[in-house]
Amino acid sequence: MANKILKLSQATREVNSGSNKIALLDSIDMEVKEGEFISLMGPSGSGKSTLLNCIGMLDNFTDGGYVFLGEPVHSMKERNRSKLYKEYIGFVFQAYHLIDELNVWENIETPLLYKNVKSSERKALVADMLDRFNIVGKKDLFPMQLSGGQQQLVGIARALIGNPKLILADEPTGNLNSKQSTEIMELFSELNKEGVTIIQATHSEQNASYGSRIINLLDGRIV
Amino acid sequence: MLRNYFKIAWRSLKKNRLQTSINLLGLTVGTVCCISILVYVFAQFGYDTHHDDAQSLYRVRSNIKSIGNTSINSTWAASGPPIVFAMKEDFPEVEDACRIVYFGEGDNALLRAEGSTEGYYEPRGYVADSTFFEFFKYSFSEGNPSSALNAPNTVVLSSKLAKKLFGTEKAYGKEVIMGDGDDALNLIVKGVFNEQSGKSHLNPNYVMTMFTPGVGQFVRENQNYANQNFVYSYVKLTSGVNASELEGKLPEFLQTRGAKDLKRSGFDKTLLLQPVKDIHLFSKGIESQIDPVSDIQNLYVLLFLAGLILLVACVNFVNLSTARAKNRAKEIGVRKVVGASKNSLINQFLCESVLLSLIATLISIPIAILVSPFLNELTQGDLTFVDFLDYKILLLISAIGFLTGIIAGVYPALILSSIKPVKVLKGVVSAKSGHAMLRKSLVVFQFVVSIGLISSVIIVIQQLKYTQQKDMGFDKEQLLAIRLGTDVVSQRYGAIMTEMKSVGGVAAIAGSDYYPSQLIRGDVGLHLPSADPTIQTKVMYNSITPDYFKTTGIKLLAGRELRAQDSTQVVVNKTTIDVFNIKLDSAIGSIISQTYEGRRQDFEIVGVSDDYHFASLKSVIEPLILFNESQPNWMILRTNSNDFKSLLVNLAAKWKITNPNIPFVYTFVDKEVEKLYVEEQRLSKISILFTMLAIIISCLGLFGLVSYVAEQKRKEIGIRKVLGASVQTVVKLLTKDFVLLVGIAFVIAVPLAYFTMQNWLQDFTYRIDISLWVFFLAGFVALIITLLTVSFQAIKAAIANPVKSLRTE
Repeated sequence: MANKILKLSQATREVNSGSNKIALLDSIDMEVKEGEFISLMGPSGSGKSTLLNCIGMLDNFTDGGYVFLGEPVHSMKERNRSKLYKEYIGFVFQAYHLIDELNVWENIETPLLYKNVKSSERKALVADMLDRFNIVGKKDLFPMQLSGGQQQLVGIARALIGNPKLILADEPTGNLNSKQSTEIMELFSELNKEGVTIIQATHSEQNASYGSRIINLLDGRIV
Repeated sequence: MLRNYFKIAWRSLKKNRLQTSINLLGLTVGTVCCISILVYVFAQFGYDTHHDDAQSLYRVRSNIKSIGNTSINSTWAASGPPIVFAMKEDFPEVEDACRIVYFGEGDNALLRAEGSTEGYYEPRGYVADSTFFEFFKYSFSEGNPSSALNAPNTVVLSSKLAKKLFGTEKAYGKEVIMGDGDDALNLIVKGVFNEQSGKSHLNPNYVMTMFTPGVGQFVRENQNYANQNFVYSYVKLTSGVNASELEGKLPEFLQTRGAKDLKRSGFDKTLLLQPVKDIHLFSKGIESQIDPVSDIQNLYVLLFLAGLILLVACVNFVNLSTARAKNRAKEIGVRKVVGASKNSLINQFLCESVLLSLIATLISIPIAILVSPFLNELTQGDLTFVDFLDYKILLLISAIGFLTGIIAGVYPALILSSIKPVKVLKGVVSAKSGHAMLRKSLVVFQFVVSIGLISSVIIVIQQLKYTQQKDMGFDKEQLLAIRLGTDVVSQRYGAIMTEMKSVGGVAAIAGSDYYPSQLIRGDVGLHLPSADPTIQTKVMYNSITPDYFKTTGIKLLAGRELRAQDSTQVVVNKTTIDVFNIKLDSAIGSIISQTYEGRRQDFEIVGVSDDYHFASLKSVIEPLILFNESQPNWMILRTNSNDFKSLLVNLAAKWKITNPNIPFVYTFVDKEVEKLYVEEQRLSKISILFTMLAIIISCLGLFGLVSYVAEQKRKEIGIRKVLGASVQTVVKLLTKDFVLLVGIAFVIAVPLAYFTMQNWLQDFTYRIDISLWVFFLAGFVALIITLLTVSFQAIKAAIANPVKSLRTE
């Protein structure tokens, strides 16, 4: 029996719109075990991104419980929360979100800087990562000089460099053509086999099929 | 980590070229101003600090009150001849004493080397006690400082003067001849010192011993504790002595030593101790200084202006950084997602602003050195690059650079680091990056600075114009003063005058001991013949020849000019008869008396002159008495020619015939009057410069800000144009906010500038009234400059093709 990574119970995210409260996420119950590869599906506005952001602690549930690796996130202070996600979660975005002013090497290195990893160790880790993704030759290039697929590779490398337990990917192939998409999805599936837990939000049935489980969302509820 | 910060700082600075250039330019200009002013201020504080016992040197000066008329007071830099050596006898606290006699630039003695006919009037030649070089430290290239002035008739020259008189030969042991004819004095050179040994209020050119006939002998023998307060007196206190305690004992000392003199003099006199190192900066209001001194107040003004410019540059940084927060938002969001804490982001942005400011500092140092000759001209300073490379200065400059970076960066850093990542990554950073209110306030601040400075500068210029154009009471134009210089020449005054009169263009000639506007150093105590002779009123005096009033254009209200045979007949000014309560119509024939050391002398008033400004307009007109003189120091010459060149050539030729060995030295009185306001002239030049710089930097910031606003409103402008808006309405849309800000700034700036300038004007006895139009003009100028700056970008945005701007959305 694999360990539980996170558990949501009646998790709700509401926003104020004028005088009305709108529930972006409504009483979500969900459990994720280590080694799972979950695909969140649903139409635009169904709450996929909000759920990912809340799980990733960039955003907060307004109600309900959220336990991450046995820690009650819902009752935690901001500071501890950021410590937690810094340590265990990696993000991959649809728009890659690389820092334009940094080259490939430096982009991948950034999370390590914020973890106060020593310089020599950083070098080794980044070199390993470049090697693993076959982008050693691109290490001095800036994001603008890369194709979308290459940028997303760098984005994934950056998410992995801190050795996270959980990868959250918000439509990771949304800006890519089908060939690049396949490559990225193959990569995710490989990472998953190596033991990384992944939650991805996607529109594509095909991408969803790489996952071990599909959760369908509609209007903020699991259906 | 730090390396990473600086790396990304460098790259993002490179990326936003416009913003970086504006910030860098502003900060550099601000820093150059700060560095220059700081170095100047440092130099000003360095006066008289290099002497061995600088901390225990004090100048003994005197305050003198007329008992007869208490409104006439003098704060003198000097005191009487016997005082300091008596102090040395009476007080164990006084280790040593030194006296210096100097009569000012107008009385420069004529010097020539023995065997040479070439003579020079040399300034700052002091007659001093032999302790001079023990008090004031100068390194000697020839001779021995401790014994150089011990023997009679010895002199010590500055190396510059030694070179002028003796060329490259050794000066030691050679003779210098001072004066001319029977009164000529042979002095033996006993030393040559390096005049650049350190800055001092004395700045001596040559120093001769007190063991000389004439004034030296007078000072050595005089035992009057009340009068003759022309001797610059210094004491060296034993270490650890409290100067103000000693000062407290001086009234008693003065009474013990000179009660009789004081009683006779009819004045009330107080002795004061002033630290020698304070003389240069803290002597405001003290009359009869050896050389012009600076005023700490001016240094404060300069520092304030320089700081203001730097602040205006910082405001640009804050405005442009916060306005462009959106452009940095993505990077910030991503960094937060990958684990950056708020603190580390704050540090990163501070690194960026500090880096920028340090680059500005680095560029500024050589620029400041390059512009230092210009600064020297403005401030009459003598800074060299050595002054800039002092480690204290460099340390201070780096500290300022660092601090500027922090001040400019801290607010943007807080704003930027608080951006929420989840919003950024969703791509919904509000198009209007907030904090518009703060930016507006800062822009208002810049306008306040601009409007305030412009109106202040106008007022300063107005006041200067006023002082230059105000009727001084004499006609200063086309008035020439020729130095007669030595007693021999003065004795030949009549003959020289006859020669000079024959020169074409000469309308009138007279003579006087002080030409109009020259600082008068002589005063006498006077009283009415019927009054108590121990209650006297201090009256300044000058000696003149017949035709003086005709030549100078000073009006006679009653009576006549002095005549050649007059001796006890005098002319007084209007203030004098007012002080003595003499009516103008009964003034002629009235008697006023002088009682000096028990002897009474009566003078008959034969003329009353209108009050004229014989000193600067900063001081009120004091009582003045004019005696007849047949051997004046100066020849005053009125010309009706405008061809000064040939007039001067002709005069010089005549001079050469009558006085072959004496240099022909002259000055135009209107130029001398101008010199009375050098300090104000300087201040106005510096304020004009700083005002322009502040305006330019503000404009740069405004330019950057409006280009950003235009970029932000591209879509809005596009839509409006599609809907049929004209170019004018779009330009109006972009400019109206800024016009409003100018308005707000105007309201704030006017009272600030008004009260500041009102305060400044208090220094002038004769001053302008501040008129309102000055402020409206300043506001108008600010508005025009703003419109010019803003409209460039506004028009560019307004005429852009809307299709383009809408397509990119």
